[in-house]
Amino acid sequence: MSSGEDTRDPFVPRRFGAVEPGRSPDELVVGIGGMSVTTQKSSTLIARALGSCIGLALIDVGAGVAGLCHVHLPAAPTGSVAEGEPPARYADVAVEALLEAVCAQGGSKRAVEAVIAGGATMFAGAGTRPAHEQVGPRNERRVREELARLGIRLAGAATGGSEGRTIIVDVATGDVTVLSRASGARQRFAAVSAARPARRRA
Amino acid sequence: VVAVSLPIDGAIDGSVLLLMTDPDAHVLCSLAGVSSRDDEMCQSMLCELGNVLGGGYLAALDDLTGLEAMPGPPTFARDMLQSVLASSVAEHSPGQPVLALLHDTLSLDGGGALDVLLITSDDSVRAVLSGLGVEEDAA
Repeated sequence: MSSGEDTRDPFVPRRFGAVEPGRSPDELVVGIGGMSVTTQKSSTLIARALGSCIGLALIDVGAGVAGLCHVHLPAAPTGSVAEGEPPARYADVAVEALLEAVCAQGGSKRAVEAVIAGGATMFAGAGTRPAHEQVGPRNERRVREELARLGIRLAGAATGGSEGRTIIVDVATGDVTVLSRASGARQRFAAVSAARPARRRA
Repeated sequence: VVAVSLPIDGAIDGSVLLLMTDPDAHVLCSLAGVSSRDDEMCQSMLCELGNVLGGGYLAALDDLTGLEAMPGPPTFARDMLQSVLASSVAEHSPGQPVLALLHDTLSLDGGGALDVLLITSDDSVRAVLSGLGVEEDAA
């Protein structure tokens, strides 16, 4: 890895399915279909240029673990991920897979919270299908369904519309930032679970 | 980038994708006599250009291979490269291994360039190679 300044455009795509260092070794860039989970406080998880794709962050602030995956499509055509395919390409398997990976690193299913970004309809015009049939909204719908099925609270969403987004997870704080280059919008979702009282049995 | 995507309808699947930078889109609009400040007209002109180029590519492919395919209605996007590329692939080739079968860079008179990609599945690539008389073992 080069120790010099990284002059790459932060919005330029990375290799399909890969998780690679970004501008610094602490930045983990999650490519399409990729997934990364970490307990390293100094780390930042990033999924760039989400169009119809969904960036899903699962965070357990108390346990200090965060995960991010970059979902491309709502469902695997065969019902499961084929050998050699990126682990988080399909929403129907990615959400649960990411949850398990977060829990394997110390997260608790009851404490994990989600933030999602993306699910846009990038292309407009005469040939555009109705919104509910397009991949972006279908991706978002499937991810939300899976989160509900697994009982994961959705703490924030920056989805829909027609703009590409980048999602950034600060592992130390659990804060999630979503950027849009087209509009210049910047949304921040604080790690709300940190402020919630601990759940105790009566 | 600015992108125009055309789904392919017929003997092969996938899409034709035109990609250009914003300044090059303005050059193209100027060459066609459309003010780059008229966003709606620019989009319409670029989509029409997509129709012409996409139709031309698919007609040439038909001539060479006998595989009949037509471009569907064009759609337009302006955003980050990966956003539009991944969205186009997801929309027109969901869940399949995809390949860029053709990639051409066309230079513009006023400077700049335009990239044309024909993105299709490996099944369609096999059909095209077969149409060209290339044996699968040799491919």
